[in-house]
Amino acid sequence: MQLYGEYDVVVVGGGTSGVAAAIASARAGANTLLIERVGVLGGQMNYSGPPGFSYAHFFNLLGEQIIGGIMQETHTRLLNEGHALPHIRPEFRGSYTFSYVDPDWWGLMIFEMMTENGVNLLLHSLAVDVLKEGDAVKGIIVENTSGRQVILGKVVIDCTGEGDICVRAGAPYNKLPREELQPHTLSFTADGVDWDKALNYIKENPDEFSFERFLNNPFLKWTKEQLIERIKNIKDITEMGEIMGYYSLRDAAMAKGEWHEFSGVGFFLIPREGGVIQAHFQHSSQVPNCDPTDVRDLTYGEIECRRQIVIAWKFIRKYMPGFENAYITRVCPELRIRESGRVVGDYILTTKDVLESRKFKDVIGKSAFPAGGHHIATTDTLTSGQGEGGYPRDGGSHDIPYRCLVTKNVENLLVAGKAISTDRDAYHRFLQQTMVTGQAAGVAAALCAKKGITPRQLEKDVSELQKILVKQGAILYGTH
Amino acid sequence: MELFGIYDVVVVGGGTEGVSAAIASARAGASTLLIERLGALGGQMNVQGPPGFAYAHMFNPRGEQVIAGIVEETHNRLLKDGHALPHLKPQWRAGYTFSYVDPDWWGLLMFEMMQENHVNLLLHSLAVDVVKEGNTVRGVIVENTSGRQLVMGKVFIDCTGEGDLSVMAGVPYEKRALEQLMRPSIAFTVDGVDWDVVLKYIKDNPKEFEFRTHPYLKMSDEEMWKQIKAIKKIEEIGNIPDGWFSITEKGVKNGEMHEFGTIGCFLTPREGGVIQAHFQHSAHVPNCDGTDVRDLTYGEVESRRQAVMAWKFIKKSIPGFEKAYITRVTPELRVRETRRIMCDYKMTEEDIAAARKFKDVIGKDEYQAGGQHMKHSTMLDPKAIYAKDGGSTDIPYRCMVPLNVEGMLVAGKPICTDESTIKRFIVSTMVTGQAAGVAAAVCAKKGVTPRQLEKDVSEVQDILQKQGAILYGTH
Repeated sequence: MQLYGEYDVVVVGGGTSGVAAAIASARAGANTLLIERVGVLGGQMNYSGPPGFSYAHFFNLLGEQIIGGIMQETHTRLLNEGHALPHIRPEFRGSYTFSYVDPDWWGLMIFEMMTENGVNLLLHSLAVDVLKEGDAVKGIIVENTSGRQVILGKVVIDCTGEGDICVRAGAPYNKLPREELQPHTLSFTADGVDWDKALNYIKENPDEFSFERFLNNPFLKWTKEQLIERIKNIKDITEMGEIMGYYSLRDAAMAKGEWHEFSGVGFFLIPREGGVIQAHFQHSSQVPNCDPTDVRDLTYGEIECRRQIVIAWKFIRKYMPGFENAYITRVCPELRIRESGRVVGDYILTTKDVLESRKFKDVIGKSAFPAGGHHIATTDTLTSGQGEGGYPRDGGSHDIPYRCLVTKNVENLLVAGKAISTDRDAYHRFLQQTMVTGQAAGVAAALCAKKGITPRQLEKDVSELQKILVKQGAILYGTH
Repeated sequence: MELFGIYDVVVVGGGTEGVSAAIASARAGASTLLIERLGALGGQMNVQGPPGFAYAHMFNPRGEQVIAGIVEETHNRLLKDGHALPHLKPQWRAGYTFSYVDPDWWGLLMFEMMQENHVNLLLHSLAVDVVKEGNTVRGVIVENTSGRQLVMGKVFIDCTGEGDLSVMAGVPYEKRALEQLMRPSIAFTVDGVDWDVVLKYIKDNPKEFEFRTHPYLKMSDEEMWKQIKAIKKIEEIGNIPDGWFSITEKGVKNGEMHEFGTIGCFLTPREGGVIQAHFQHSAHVPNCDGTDVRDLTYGEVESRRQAVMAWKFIKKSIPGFEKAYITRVTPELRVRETRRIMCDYKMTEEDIAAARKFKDVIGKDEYQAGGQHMKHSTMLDPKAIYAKDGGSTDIPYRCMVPLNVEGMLVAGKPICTDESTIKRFIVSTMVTGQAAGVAAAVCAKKGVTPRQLEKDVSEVQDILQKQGAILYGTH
């Protein structure tokens, strides 16, 4: 086996958490390696996605901006180059604000940022094992076209999304049984939509869409009539942000076997150069009973989702007003994994923390996303998010504490992205959350490498970490 | 280590040759497993591509169809569903025929065909080693989210594109020196092209493009341009090769365009008659060996730098592209050339020149020897050697039977050829894939090795013909 190299910080996984971690680590002065399984960086944004909310949720219900850092920096950069839409903040949507970027240009920009920041890359490489000395991770073993190699690092960040490195290193990990996991999805993008016609149908048939859920926002003191009136005044599809519904069309088609039973009908938007808006379907296939850490399930999921999207697309073109001449321009190559397990860290972020907009001394970022509200593989698409979940009660946002990124039982290891330590309803799987925790983990790892301490030892005093994050544009203080 | 399963035929690599091999093997009655590194099937067609000629070259310069089988079957099927263009056979281009398919729908179709033919799939799995008993390959070891597993089989087909499995098994190979390897590309597809403006510029500026006629045709440039000027719809042109020379030259001189590729595009048909432009010659990474992970990583970075520069230049400077927009950037490099695996027969440029026929024919190919990507994308090897009489060359079965090991076949671009005869085009990879699939199934059924089968390939040929392959009756 060959020694590939020795680094201060080794980031495993080049998805949204990994790219943020690598940039932040390199900026904080660490010699950084980013390892990615495929040839492209970006994961759920531009490879297996984007998810609908990309970007989104920069603001809380009160309208305060709670996410900055690499998210805001990249949004601004793409906006300046004509590859993004400005922050879209319809008042009736509460914290469902949208800050759409062109995923393909986002991917190209991320490569530019790796070069600009001097991040070392190792692409086309699958991490298959960890090297440990006692409880401490010392390196990662990868397989690729050149064979098997070992990479040594002072601190390793698990950005695999599924906590693969943590599990292989022996960190505790919670995963729901297969049948309770959220379904995964394969998305596709379509062009050639007649937006005037599509928008007209939506405005003329508001009851066919899921607008009433906006009234769940306790800070929006509107009647249903006011909401409908506002929707009827929408001039441009981008004000809509996203659409979910077409109930009658869907149910009629389902009765004829022209829609499948695994998801509802709806779409998000993708901005392209020169003001073109494409429709992005990422709820039109959902595969249940699929554990992404089991390769047989993962294989089955890839097959099943493609079966569903072919049915879905035929429906869309045949029945959805405005989509008669639309055409698919891109099918994602791989499933976007909504849920696997969560690593157990030194703190487990709880649903109560979210509901109470809890602030922590070791804050490394914020989130305003409601707790609960998971996907289910039925035409409802989502569970209601009621019960334990819901919005932060004061309309604010909660802090994400550093300790959620520090795995129990294992040293020299941080976790970022959707596998960080939370309870199930506080699951931090959303793109903006993964980039916030990625950026924080990158800075923390760089600091640990510089000081010669472990991520757990850093818990005693995170002030330098916070100072660097703030300098990198992150928002840590001053919001509800 | 877990045993994942035991199969008659195990196909490693789900690119264009791998999907063909798996379908053909399953149809020939073998229990078949197809292993793929990613979550998508299709490789250079829909993940790293498509390459420009996808599909293309199904006819020789005489107009005889030389490629059918799974290529023709899938083209037909997509055409009926509105996801392909009919065979385009511009007279002035002779052998350069085009049979474009929508790569995204092709990818969806592949998954459907796997189900229809009961191919077992193992996706998201990287093959990392082989298990041998003496000289015989008995298993392949994969790594994936579930860990490390062993897959056992009677016959293995190396469809990795780079001959990875063959090398793991100890088969000798050839590879040109780093600086001579054809360069890998990132491709991108754009919409919103004003094709009328593009076509008008081409017609008004014949000196700005290099449309080559096939030497078999002996057509004058004047006659060729007369035909080009009669074109009404962009798809009649087939593709727009290397062109816009003056604009590009100026762009390179003033630093707006890089020097590693050229401007030229292929067509991607979408539902409802939409034609997108597909640029896959505008980023070319030199000195990049796709079997070295450091090179491969560098190539992904460098080709994106080039693609961004090229696109900004195209949008700014090429008439008709002012309002165009990128709708898709390929996620990975398309690797044009690495290893050629040494087998019981090596196809040579002499075979091509003679349009040679072989007793153990398993498919045909009309593409010339040479004609490879050099410094600039379409600056082709000057020593292109064409099949005589506008004909085509047989591909013999023995090109797929690797030296020194038993229980294994190789299909796709690493099959055994000399360096100028490399069979890297999509249609060739699907032809050899289909043949390897049938051969493997026959071996598994008869309990013979692929090498033992060389003595009598008549059953393979019978099955291939039943599957629609063209083996006989053409020049």
